[in-house]
Amino acid sequence: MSLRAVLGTALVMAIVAVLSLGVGTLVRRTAAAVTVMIALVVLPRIIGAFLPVGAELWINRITPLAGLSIQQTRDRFDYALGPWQGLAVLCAGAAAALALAWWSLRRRDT
Amino acid sequence: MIGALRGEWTKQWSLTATAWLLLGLAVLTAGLSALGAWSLDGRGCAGPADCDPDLTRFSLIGVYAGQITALVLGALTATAEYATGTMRTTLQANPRRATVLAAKAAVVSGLVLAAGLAGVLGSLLAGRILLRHNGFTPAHGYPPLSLGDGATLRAAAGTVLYLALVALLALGAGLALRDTAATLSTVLAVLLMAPLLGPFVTDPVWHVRLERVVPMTAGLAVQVTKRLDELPIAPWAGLAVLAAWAATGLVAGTARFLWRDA
Repeated sequence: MSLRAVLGTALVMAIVAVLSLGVGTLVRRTAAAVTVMIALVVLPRIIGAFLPVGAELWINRITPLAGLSIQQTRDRFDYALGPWQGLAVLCAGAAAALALAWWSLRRRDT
Repeated sequence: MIGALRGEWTKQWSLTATAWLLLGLAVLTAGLSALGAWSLDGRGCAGPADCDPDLTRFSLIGVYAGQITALVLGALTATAEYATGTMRTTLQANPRRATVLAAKAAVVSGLVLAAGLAGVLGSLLAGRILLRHNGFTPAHGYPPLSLGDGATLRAAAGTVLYLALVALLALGAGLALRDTAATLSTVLAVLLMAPLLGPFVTDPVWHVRLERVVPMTAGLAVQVTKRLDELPIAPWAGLAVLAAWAATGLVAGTARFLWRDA
């Protein structure tokens, strides 16, 4: 389980980078891409700390933060998702961003 | 100076990002604040003696999202000109660099103050309506949010100033680093790292020290209206810490701007 957490964390970083590539291709501007990624990956954790538990659970389910569920090595009632489910949420987000990026790259000039 | 201001104004609005960022600043601040207020359920509360959340602070939570757009606007004011080479033209047109810098700071802080004011007023309005709807009614002992309340007024005004100071910090860093990605990552790291690292600093003394010196936690102390004695730093003193950060960034940016080639 610790091994899963260790390797999974590296995997999460790699997938976040892929998600970022998709977003960057979509918006085509450094400032916009960095802003969107920060808003998606870093901000929810900070805001979640202020919100009621129910709202924080949902933040941990639908934002890319869900991927960090892979770090769980215990089974606790207050975890938002199982480790692999969380990683699947992040992968789905990255896949969606890449698909949109691919579609827009073919459609647009440069 | 008037000419420099007009020049900066024109250049600022010729960036497509400016209008979007200002709109985003107001809409994200008010929108996230509304979500925060909406998520707070007071129907199980018998009264302030039973549960006493800081309703003003909850209604201004949107600043966490809004500050990112203020930051990007401040950074782009400097770095967009370096990315395209416009800075050389600017300095040929107006070789007095201190004037150019003052005009940039004035224009960007004016724009952020205006958009921030719209966002903060929208947040308070949304909070006033939604909190009442969620059971925080005067009948239960929760007066509606109002700018007539001294602490709420301080929180609202302080939040608007907070946004402008974040933009100025980013402007200074942008002038010092001259690259959009580098500036945004650096300022975001400084701004957001404390709340992200905070939970891992377990020593309570160091935890309080961290919250006192880091710009975001110190600066946002100005939003707190309840249990002020539990704060790591007093409201206006916290905003002064952020102002010191902004001043440091601006001094670094000014130094490079004045003494190095564009």
